Amino acid sequence: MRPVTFDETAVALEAINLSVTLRRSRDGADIPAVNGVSFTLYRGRTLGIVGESGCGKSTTAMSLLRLLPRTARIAGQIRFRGEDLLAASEERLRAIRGRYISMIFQDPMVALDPLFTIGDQLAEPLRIHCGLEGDALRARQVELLAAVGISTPETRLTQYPHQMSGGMLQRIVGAIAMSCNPDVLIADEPTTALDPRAQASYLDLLKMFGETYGLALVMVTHDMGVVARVCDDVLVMYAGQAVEKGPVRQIFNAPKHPYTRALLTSIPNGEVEREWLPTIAGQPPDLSRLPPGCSFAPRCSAAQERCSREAQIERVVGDRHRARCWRAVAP
Amino acid sequence: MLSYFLRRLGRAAITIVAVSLIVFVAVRATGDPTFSLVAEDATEAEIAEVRAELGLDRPYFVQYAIYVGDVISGDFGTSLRYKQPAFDLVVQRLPATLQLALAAFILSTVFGILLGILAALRQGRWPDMAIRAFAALGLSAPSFWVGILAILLFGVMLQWLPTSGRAHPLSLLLPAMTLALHSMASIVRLTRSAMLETSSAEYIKFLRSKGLPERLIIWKHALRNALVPIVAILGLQLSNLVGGAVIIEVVFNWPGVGRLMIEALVNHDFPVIQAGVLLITLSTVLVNLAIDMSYGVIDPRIKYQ
Repeated sequence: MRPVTFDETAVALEAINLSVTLRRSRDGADIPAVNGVSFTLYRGRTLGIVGESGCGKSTTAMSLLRLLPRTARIAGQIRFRGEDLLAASEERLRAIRGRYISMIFQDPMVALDPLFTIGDQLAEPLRIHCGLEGDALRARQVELLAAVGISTPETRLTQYPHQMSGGMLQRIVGAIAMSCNPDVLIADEPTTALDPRAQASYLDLLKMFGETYGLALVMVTHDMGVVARVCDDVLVMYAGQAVEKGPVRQIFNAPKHPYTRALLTSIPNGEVEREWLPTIAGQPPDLSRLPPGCSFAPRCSAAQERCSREAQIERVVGDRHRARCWRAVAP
Repeated sequence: MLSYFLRRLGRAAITIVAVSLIVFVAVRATGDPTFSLVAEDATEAEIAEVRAELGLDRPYFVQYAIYVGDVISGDFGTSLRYKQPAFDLVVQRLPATLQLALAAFILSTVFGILLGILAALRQGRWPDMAIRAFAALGLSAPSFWVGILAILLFGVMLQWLPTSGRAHPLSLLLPAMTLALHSMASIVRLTRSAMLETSSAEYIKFLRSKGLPERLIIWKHALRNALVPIVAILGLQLSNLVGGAVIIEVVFNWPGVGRLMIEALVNHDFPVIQAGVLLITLSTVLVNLAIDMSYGVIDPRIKYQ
């Protein structure tokens, strides 16, 4: 795999005012899982989407490839290579999935079909998208496995998922996702199921992919430590909304939204001895019954009367730095 | 693999011995055949003589030991009614029963899997509803009743298909379909739920994210994964089919082992019953073993230990 030269300001994908409504199977209620989220992916840069479980970060990621349940409704725009993916046909989407935009899932132990060999599952996108066959296909398979750090790739190709460890399987999932040199790679909690050592080396591998091949990487995570390690930009989500977004350094040094601040103080930190890790009191709201005004207000330690009265709009708080809190701009 | 196979073979032998023992005792509990062999005005002495000739005057375990010895040397006894070797009588009828059971097995497997897939793909819509209603009916309707209705409809009213015997090439169709119904209904239900379960698996989502066409996802990946539990019940279904064949053979006058054994039961023809049950058990056990050995072909995770 050859490194490519690319322009870091080149936009790879742009999501504009993305909203997703899911049907809750329990009671058939419509859930606004994602609510007016916008972000831009640049080549060679990594965007972290962070938030608690159920905040809509995975739904946002899955909607980029329109891999949502059939009952889901998506609104907004996803601009990619001059077209709107939300208007694209299913056939067109299939040509994009795995070719230009690919994905890595959370649990590598269940991401591969247990009944087929690694080689077979790695060959599928190469056959379908790149038309590779025979010796060329095999050479590319070996090259890909070697690129993700798998030793003896020839042997591994003939093996089945149950014969490998989780860390190794996640590397193979990475190889499959990278097989057609995509523009965008979406990783949904890619290291959550791995042990700490495998986590670190896997993040480095993804980071290397992004920088070497000009990949726009989306890292969905609940772990601010992961964001600090690999991301260039970050999008903090709460109750389906982007509450703060901007370059990682700005957000870590000067978080503007109280939720971001609370998340940052919840990172375990080896430097300071603490008996208790601070947590955010309360629970995220039920998405089908969002509170009026700011959805974070009921849990916000700095909330005032105004917060639960008026809905919050996105405010400019710095160069490419936005926060959805009126206090963020207040002196 | 070989040691697993040998162990399974050993267990099959135990099954066959157990079945032979149960049948041996059970047929003797149904009555004494001596009375149907002697004249009505036979004296006590004459009856005792015939009984001694048949060896029925000895204790069960002595009779069984003699029987086992005979079977090992290839002698399954002589039919009390036909005065022919019981083994020959059964073997003559075996092809008809195997043909019926096998035809029903193929019908139920092929259509059961296809309808199950169709129901899963159209989940919640009318084809799914119709197939599920049909499966519920197939599971709950007794086969002799379905057989009689089928004869009435296709044989008497529409006159499309022959209803009795084995003379016509199409004779197989009605009894095989009737026999297949129950087992097809179970396979439909299992296939539907297995397909729905595999369709929501994470690896199916990952396959979609790779841009694979839907037909490849369903027919290559989802179906093969769904086949794992389906193949596991096929052996059971086959045993049910062979057992169910007995009733179907009577309803459709199909000249198989089942009908022979019903006649033999009525006549207290012990050797024929014993030989029939033994041969049917043997074929069922062997086919089950073959099905179990085929798991490894479908699922690489299975190790024969």
